[in-house]
Amino acid sequence: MLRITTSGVMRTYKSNLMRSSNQLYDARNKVLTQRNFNSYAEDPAAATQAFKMRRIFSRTSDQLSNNTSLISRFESASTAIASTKNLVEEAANDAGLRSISDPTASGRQPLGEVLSSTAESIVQALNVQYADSFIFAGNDALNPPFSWGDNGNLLFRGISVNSGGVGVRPEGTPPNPAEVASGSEWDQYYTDNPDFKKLAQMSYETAYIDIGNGLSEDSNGDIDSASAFNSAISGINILSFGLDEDGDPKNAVSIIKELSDILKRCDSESGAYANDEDKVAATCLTDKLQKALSSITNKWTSMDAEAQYLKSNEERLTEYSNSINEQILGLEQADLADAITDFSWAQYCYNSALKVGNSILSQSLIDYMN
Amino acid sequence: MKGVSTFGAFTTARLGIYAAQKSLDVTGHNITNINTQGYTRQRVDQMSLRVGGNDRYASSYDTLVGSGVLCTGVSQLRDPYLDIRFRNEQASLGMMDAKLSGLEELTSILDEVSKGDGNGIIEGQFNDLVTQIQNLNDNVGKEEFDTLVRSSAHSLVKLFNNYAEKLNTIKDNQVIGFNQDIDSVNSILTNIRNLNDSILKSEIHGDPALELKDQRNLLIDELSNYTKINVEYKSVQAGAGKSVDQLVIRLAGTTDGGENSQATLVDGSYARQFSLRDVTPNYNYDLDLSALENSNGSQIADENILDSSTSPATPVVGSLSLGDCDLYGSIQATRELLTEAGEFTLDSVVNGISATDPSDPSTATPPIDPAAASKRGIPYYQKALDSLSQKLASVFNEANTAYLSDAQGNYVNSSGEPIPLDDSGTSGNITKDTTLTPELQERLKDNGIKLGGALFTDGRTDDSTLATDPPKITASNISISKSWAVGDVRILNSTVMGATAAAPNATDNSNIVHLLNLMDSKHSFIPGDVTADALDASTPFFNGSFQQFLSNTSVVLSNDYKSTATLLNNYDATSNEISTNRDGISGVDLNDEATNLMQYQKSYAAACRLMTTLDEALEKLINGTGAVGR
Repeated sequence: MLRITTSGVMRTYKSNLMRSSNQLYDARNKVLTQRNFNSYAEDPAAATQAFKMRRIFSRTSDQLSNNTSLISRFESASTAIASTKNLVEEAANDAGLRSISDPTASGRQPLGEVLSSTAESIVQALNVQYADSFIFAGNDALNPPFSWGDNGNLLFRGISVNSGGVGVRPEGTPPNPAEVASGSEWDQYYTDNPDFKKLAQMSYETAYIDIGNGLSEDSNGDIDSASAFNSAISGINILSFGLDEDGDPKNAVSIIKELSDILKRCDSESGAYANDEDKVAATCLTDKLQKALSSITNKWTSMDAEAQYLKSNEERLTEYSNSINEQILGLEQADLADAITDFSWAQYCYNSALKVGNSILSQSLIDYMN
Repeated sequence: MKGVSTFGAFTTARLGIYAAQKSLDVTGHNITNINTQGYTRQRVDQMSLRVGGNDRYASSYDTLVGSGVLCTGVSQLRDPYLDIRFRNEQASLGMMDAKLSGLEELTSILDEVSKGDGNGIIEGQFNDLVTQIQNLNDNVGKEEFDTLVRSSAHSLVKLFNNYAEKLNTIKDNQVIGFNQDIDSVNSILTNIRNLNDSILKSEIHGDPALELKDQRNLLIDELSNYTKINVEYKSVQAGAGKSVDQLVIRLAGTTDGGENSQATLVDGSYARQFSLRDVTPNYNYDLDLSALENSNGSQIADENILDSSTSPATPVVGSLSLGDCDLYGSIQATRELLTEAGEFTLDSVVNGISATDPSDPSTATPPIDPAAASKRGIPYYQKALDSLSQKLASVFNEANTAYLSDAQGNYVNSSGEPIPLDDSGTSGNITKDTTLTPELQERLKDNGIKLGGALFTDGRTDDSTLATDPPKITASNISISKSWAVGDVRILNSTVMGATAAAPNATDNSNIVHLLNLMDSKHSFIPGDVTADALDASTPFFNGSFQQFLSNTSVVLSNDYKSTATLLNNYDATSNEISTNRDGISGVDLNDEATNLMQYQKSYAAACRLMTTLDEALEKLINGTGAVGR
């Protein structure tokens, strides 16, 4: 600059003082709010990242709370299945050992009554509720799943659990009716046995809950089963349903009920069977009850495994949630030691600038003229 | 013998005293005006005086001596080049400053950082909505959980309404500011014109009117903040051989400027006035310039704007229309804040409208601003919020309205049977994958079971009109539908019938999980949803979830803010530097003036001493010579 004039000096001083004052203001704000940035514009990248982390944190909290409620529900379910298993086991032993063998034949009729009430107890155990919903009702959890029909048949949501039996049943586990190709064997079998089809449909019901497995939909708009947890439990999957190749029910309660009817028909004093068919049937059903029991045991084991999975998922989600929280703090929270140091320095610079201001209007020649 | 004059030297002394006196006066003027804004230091122009011509009988032994000093006038020390540089910086400074203050107002509304316990306000509400839907997902069939979702959604739409209203208020405030700016510019132009008048009159009478020129320079500096200008001085004849400088101020023009972008604003005693174009509605806040008029109302032509239809082209008299990009400064910044809509800009603004009569190209409308799609003002943010509201409403409404279908995907009637495509029943059934012609839609409507209903509407009280009069949802009118509010419609839990009845199972949550997925899945936001005639109306300008869209809008705003702030700091620093340099030339420095004081005081004393010496010398001559023996 050619000449340093008073107004030039004043202008430069004012603008530099304002800059110093602004820096002090920013440093003070950082200490007071303990945040690295107080507006989006201060650090757009960090702010975007921080909001994304907060969104993930919120979702993870939701998933954790879903998971916790599922654990409780599955533990209740597991307990109910355990007691069912015990009841069926008892019934199997009673039927197997005590009723078949001849020395204890006289106890058959009372045993029949016992088996009848065992069947009732199993149904009550499986009609258990958790938080106002029936656990084993699949997708229709506002109503009790199991009930007794007019003819003494066990009904699952109004359909007899012993449905099916017209025509030759194809091999293997009944597939989901929704996925059966039109015109195939199973399609034909389902068409002939509409009630069995309904039971099969009910056994495949889903109620997906998001527990942090990356909830997503497939190309048809249906939820990808690997990305969510299916919380629907159908009671007929535990007790089995339908008829086997001999025309006998597969359902454990139905078998117990039939056995109970056979035993009740026995002579009250001698314990003799009412007829030969009853004797054959009793032995046969006793074996089938063992099969039904092993099916229940398998189901109980897998339910237990799911409950264990939910517990380990809970731990995973909790850890994940903590790690996200740390990331958020790392992005947003200012290191107070740094912030206070910066503030002290900014204050020192500002005070120095003020001190300069005292001598800004230095003396000129006029002060020395006489 | 020429050149010898007894009393001539007194004139020299007198002139010397006068010059020193004048210089002291000017020095005093400078010192007292050291704090006057815009004051340019003055100095006396001196010239040495020589009186004489060629004598017919001159001798070579004659010695011609000058006769003292003449004060030819007082002049200012000012560098016009620095003025030009300063005014250019001021225009950029004005542009960025006005833009930043507008963006700051927007930031105060849309910036979610450190609000709502750090979770943001709308962001936080979205998170809450997802949480409530998650709770509903786990508790299907319990109406109180549906009510929780509804309350959360209600808070969300209220936030949208609130933000839209605040944005409208900002826009209204900016319009008021804009009108005030136009008034200020007009009064500056009038004042400059009046000052030109006064300066001209003074100069004709020989007074350089330096103080008036300082005032005028201050006004020009102020004007340059509003819009970029070019300042010229042209010499005009004032009569009797005297020429004076006349000030001409023109618009500087821009790279995208139109034919009137270099119009003259002030030409001596004639000036224009800005006004808003008289069209309703004036969406673009277009400006017009009135004719070049003086204080009596007479008009002259603008030499810079030529009418090309005549040959040779003649200067245009009368008012002019300014194009969209003709100005650059705080006025243009405010206009851009009020009108630019970024990705939502109309196609006709960027590409023009093709000729209505193909054989006559003049019926085409030219583009208004080819670069408009990359400029974002308040309308962009308003429309972005509209886009988000509209997408949220349409996604939710679509997910919540369906016809009952079976597990295979066929639509079913009230008995649970699939609905065939035609009456024969042999060509298949209407499924979710079937493209629905109007006939098939009628068939479905007559036979199918309609589930659910709209969750968000534009606030209408009668939802039965939704099919015939689809709502145009914006951020200011989005609201919970009347049916949802009174409980006639609830969140649809499933669209698939159960095994035992022609209705969804009571606790089947498949549609709720679907909604949950929609909250975090990618959607395409297209400009055509908000502005039908937008540029690239069907090309998505953003693909992402609702919250990502919100984040994106914040990022766009904050990046704009950050870059504008940086530019503003740069221009401010440059402007200050030029200002200080200007001061270096034209500012008053006390040391300088003190030195001048001493110098002129000494020369005054010297001139007086000369007078005394002459007096004594002549005293000797007059009274002491030729008095021999007295």
